[in-house]
Amino acid sequence: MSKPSLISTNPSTSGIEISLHPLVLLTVSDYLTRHEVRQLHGPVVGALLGTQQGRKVDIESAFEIKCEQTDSGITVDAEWLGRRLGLFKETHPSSDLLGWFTISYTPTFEPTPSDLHIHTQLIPFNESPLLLLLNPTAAAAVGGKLPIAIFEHTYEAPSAVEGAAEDAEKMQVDDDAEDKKEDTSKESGLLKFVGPLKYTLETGEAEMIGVDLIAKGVGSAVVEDKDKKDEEVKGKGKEKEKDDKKDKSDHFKSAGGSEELVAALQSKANAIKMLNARIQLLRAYLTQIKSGNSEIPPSHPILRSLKSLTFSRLNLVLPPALDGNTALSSLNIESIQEENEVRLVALMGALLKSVKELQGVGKKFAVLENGRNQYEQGGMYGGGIGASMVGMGGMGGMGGFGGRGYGGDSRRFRRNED
Amino acid sequence: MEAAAKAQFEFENNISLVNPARDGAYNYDAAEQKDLVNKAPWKKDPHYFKNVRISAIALLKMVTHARSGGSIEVMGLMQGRIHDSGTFIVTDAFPLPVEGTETRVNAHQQAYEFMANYAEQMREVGREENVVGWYHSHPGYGCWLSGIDVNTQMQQQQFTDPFLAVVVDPDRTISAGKVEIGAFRTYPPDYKPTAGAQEEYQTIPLDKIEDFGAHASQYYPLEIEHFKSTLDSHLLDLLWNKYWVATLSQSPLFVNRDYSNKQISDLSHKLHNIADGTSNPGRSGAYGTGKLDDKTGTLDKVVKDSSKIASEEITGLLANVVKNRIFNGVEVKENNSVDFS
Repeated sequence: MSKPSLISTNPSTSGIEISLHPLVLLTVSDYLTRHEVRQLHGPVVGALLGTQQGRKVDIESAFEIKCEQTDSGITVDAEWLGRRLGLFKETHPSSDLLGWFTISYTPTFEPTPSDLHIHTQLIPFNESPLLLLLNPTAAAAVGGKLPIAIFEHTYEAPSAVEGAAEDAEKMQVDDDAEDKKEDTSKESGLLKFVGPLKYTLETGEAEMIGVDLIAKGVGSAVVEDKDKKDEEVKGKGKEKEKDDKKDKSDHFKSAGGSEELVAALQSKANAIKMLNARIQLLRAYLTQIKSGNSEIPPSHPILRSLKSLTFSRLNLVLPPALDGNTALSSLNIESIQEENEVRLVALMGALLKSVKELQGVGKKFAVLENGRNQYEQGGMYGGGIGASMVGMGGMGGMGGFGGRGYGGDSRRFRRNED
Repeated sequence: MEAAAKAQFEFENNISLVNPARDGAYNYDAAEQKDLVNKAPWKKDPHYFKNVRISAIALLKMVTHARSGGSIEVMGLMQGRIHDSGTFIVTDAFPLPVEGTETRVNAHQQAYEFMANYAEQMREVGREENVVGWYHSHPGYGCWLSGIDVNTQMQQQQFTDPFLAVVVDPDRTISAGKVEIGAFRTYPPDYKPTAGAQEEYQTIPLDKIEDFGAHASQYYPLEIEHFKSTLDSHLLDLLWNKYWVATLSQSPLFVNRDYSNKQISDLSHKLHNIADGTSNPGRSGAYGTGKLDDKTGTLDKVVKDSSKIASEEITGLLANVVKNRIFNGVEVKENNSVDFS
């Protein structure tokens, strides 16, 4: 049976700009995992929260919504949601409800009639809520894309010929259509989803570091008894991989305690590999089109954007040169200054280290001298008084030595700061 | 309809979304928890809890919340459960509507109300996890417990045990490029820890060092692990496809300028202190060997601090060097071809 699509054929005209934070995705994933592991029943529905400025929407966080499966479909507990929103606002005063999320098992991310039903219930909270569909199945991640789709809604005029036909058909199919929706349809047309909309992924600096940590050396959520642990580790390729990595980093650690630097460089290397892969992909595409025996017809929009990227924007990326001398562009000067500063800090570290070692030498020297004097003078006077006096003298000399070292260093140091 | 589609999918692919063995930490058994709380093995052994496992979502929530506070301390609570191997499992975290200044993070009346409401709401959606601890941020001065923190934690451990304290430093997270987080439990008031268990050294700013030193023997750190679900890793793999660009384009030196300036001026203060203390010990004459050894210890610490700053700066510089090499070498040639050298 072919059902009428709930997706409007019209393209989105609202010009909405959506940026999505990884935290949202992980919240959905966390919710779903918990839902599955504990074998809870009922729908997976949650709210999307964030800030909206004009047409720019920032989806920053999410939480689940209490819903009930009733005969007439899924009912959102509006009273609960209102209270929860109130609590959320106490800690995130600038955030609003922007939309909601649910799970989709269709590869095309088609919203279902029951999605529409929930959607209408959220309209009192936000005039135009967004809908985020996430397909958790591995098959949905085609071509390395995130398996999500974001929709907004629109009202299609029922007077349009096909619209009216669909309208009638829809009312039959969608038997959980209740009064509310009919009302909205009558008022301003038929509610339809528009999308999938474009979105960008946005991360704060701290958020990115967090995601990085989670994405890499984090173990799985296995809860095992202690004696079972060994088996588990053996059984898992991934765990093994982690162990290998650990060995490696241990190796680096012994090389000078710079494992943080190594980790930073490693993630850079990964990013460069990715960049390289992307450029290779574009090159392969271009050469194939150029050779003419490509199975894919040349896509003019792609070619055009490639051209604009390489011929107009690339020039913008390059630092502007001063007096036509490329070696002395302002960016170069800046970066040389920065490099010098970093080296100064490094030098300072090295200097301090040598001061410390010098102090150690002074101390050892004092001990030695002390012992010798004690031996010599012990022969003349004998007794404890002499020894303790000499001990004091030795210490004084040594302290002076150390003090000179510090003085010199801190003066130099103050200059660094300027 | 969805259920049918899902069932079909699972049938066709012969897999399910979650792997019950691997995602076990997401489960919750109320009876087991109650049993464990009744037994309360931590009452007998102050070192009972040794590990913390923090879920991906909880970690991310805490880090972003700490960062959103800027230079103000923020605070929140963690939900989760305990495991009989002496482990806290933190599954989720939520912020509290309190803001602290400096070391005055303290839960107020409003926070208690918020807490009660929140917990009730969570139960209504089937999340039975209890609150197992609190977290707060120490922007720029490291992960440890201050005197007030120790008092708060001690009280909580007395009345709402099992309870855990987590500290996040958002500033150092960014400067070091890795999440700076610490988990702690205090000892009972009458317990004297055995000396010698030297923990990892960390830099403490001068104005906090007294507070740090005074209470350092009253609590101990727990080992932190993180975990994520199968679905999380799947999504994160895909996420990498999007955010690798940010890895290349970020500039830690620039973002962190304020923080490293602060670090350097703190270092210079410490150096001054040492210099003042050692410049003319000969005159005072009262310098015993023991005292001098103490001073050497401080110098040792300052040396460690400065090498840490240096290594962080070098890491930042390398980010710039990499960026420079990749992007500034691009030349638009006359013959209309682009050269990636």
